[in-house]
Amino acid sequence: MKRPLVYVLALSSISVLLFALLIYHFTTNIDPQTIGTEAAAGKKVWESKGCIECHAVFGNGGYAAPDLTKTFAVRGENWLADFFRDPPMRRPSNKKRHLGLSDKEIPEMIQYLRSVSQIRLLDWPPAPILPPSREGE
Amino acid sequence: MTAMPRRRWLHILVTLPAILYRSLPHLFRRRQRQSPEHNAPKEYPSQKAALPYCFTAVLIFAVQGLVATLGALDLVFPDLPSPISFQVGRAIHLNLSVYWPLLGSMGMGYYFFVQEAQTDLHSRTLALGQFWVFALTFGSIITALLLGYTAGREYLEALPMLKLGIILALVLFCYNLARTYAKAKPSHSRLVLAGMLTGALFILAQYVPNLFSFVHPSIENVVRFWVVHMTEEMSLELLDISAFVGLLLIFSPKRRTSLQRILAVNIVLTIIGGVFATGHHYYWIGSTGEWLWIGGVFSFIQMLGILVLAYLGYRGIPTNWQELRQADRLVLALGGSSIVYHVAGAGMLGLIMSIPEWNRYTHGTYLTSAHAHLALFGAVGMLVLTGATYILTKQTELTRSEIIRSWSGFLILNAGLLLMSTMLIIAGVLQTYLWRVTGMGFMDTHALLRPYLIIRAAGGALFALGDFLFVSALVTVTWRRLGLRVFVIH
Repeated sequence: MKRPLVYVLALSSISVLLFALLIYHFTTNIDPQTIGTEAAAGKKVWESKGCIECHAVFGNGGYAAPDLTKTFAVRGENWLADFFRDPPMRRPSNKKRHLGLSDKEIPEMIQYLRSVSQIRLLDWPPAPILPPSREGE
Repeated sequence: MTAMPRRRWLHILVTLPAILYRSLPHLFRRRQRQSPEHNAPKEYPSQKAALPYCFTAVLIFAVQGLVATLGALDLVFPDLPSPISFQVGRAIHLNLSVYWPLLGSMGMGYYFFVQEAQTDLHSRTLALGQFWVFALTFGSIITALLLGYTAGREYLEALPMLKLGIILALVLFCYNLARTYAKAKPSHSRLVLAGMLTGALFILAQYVPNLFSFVHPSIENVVRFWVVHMTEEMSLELLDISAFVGLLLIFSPKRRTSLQRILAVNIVLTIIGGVFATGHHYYWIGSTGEWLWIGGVFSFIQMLGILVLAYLGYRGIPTNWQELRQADRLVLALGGSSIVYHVAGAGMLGLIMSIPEWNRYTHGTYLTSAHAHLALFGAVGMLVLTGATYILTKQTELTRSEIIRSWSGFLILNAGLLLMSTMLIIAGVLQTYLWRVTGMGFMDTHALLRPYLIIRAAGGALFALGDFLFVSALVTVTWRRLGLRVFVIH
C-alpha cells in the first residue's frame, strides 16, 4: 500500500458522510416543538444538579435510581411537585435526602420531564412480559 | 558411609559455586543477546516526549481505582461517611475513566509514531506544551467537579470552557503528528502512522461538537455518543491498536508485512463498524426505526474487527517468553489481557446486547455497566497500560520487589476486574428479569441486587489494590531511571 493515509482518510470520509446523512434524516424527523422554553430551563436545572449520575433518561445515565423517561406520564404533575418540594429519603439511606428544588425550578423540571415523556421511543421502555400478579384479589 | 562417596560430595560442594560463578556471566550474556532491545528500532530523542504522558496516565489510573471503589461502596452503603456526594464521586470516576486512557494514548502515539516515522517529532516543545495544557485542564476539571460545577452530561461533565483546554491539547497533538507524518521518509509502509493519525483526528472531530449542549434531549444523545461510543470504540482503538502494532514490531520485526496486512483489515473494520455501530446507542432515544438494523448489523462488523485484532495478537505476540526481560513479559501479558477483554467484554457481550429485541429489555441495566467496565478498563485501559509499561520500563531491569509488585498487581487487577464484571453481569441479568420481564419496581429490584453489588464493591477493592501495586512498581522503575527528568523532554 503506497499511500495508506489517503486510503484510510478516504474510507473515513465516506463513512462519516453516510453517517452524517443518516443523522440529518434522524434530526429532521424530530419534533422541535417538543421542548419549550420552560422545559429547556428545566433541562438546565437537570444538568446543574447532576441528576444523570443517579437517574437515567432514555435508559442512559446512572443505575442507582429509576429511569425518569416516563415518570411524568406515570406519576403526574402534582406528585412530582410534592416530591421536589418535600423530597423523601434516598433509598436505601436512612440519613440522606433526595435533592429538593426551589419554587422556580419545580415547574421547569416538571415541564422538562413532561417533554421527555412525550418523545416517541419505538415502544421503549417495554411493558413487562409476564402478566401482573393477581395476589390479593 | 565409605570414603569414596564422601569425597564425591566434597567435590560437588567445592565445584558447584565455581560452576555457578562461571555460568552466571553466560546466562547474563545470553539474556542480553536475546533481549528484544537487540532488534529494537533506532532510538530517537523525541520519543522521550511520551514519558510525562505515560507516567501521569498511570498515576491517574491509580487514583481511578480508589475513587471507583469508594463510589461502589457508597452505592450499597449510602450512610457511610463521605466527604463528597455520590453524584460528584461518580462524575469524577467517569471523567478519570475518559481522560487517563486519552493521556496514555497520546504518550503511546508519540512514542510509536516517531519509531514508525523513523524521524524525530516535528516539535518536542509543542509536545511538552500540550502535556501541560492537558494536565492543567484535567486538574481544573476534577477541581470544578469536586466543587460541584458540572455540565450534567454523563461522561462529559466537564464545563464547556474547560473542554476548550482538552480541544487545544488535541489540536496540538494532531498538528504535531501531521507535521511529523509530512516530513517522515520511512523505509517501510506508513500504514501504522496512518492508523494513529486518523485515530487522533477522529478524537478531535468527535470531541468538538460536545463543547455545546443541545436543548433537545434526543439530539443531545446523538452527539454525546460520538464521544461515549465512537471515540472509545473507534478512534482510541485506531490510535492504540496501531501503536500496539508498532510495539509488536519491536518483538517480531520479521513479521512486518504480515502484521501490516492484518492491521489494514482491522482499520477498515474498525472505521466502518465503529462509525455505524453507534446506531446501537440510538435505538431508544427518539430515533426512527432504521437505526435498529443499522446498529445491529454494524455491531457484528465491529465484532469482526475485534476478531481480526485477536488474530493480530496471535501473529504478533512472540512465544519465546523465556528469552524476554521480565518487563517485556509483563508488557505482552497486558497486551494479551487487553485482547481477551476485547473479545469477551467489548465484543461478545457488546454484540449480544446490541441485538435490538434483546437490547429493548437489557438497556439501562447493570449489563450495560458490565460492558462499560470490560470495554473501558479491560480492553482500552489494558492496551494503554501495555504501551505505557513498555515506554516506562524500557532498558531497565526490574528489581525483585518491582517484579513481585508488578506481577501480583497485574494478577490482582485482572482478578478484581473479572469479579466486578461477573457480579455486574449477574446483577444485570437478574435486573432484566425482575424489572423488565416480571414488572417489579425499580427500587425493589435494586434492593434484591444488593448482595451482588456488595461483592462487586469487593471486586472493585481488589482492582484498586492491584492497580496500586502495579502502578507503584511502574513509579519506582521510572523514578529510579529518570527521577524528575520524566517531565523534561529536552
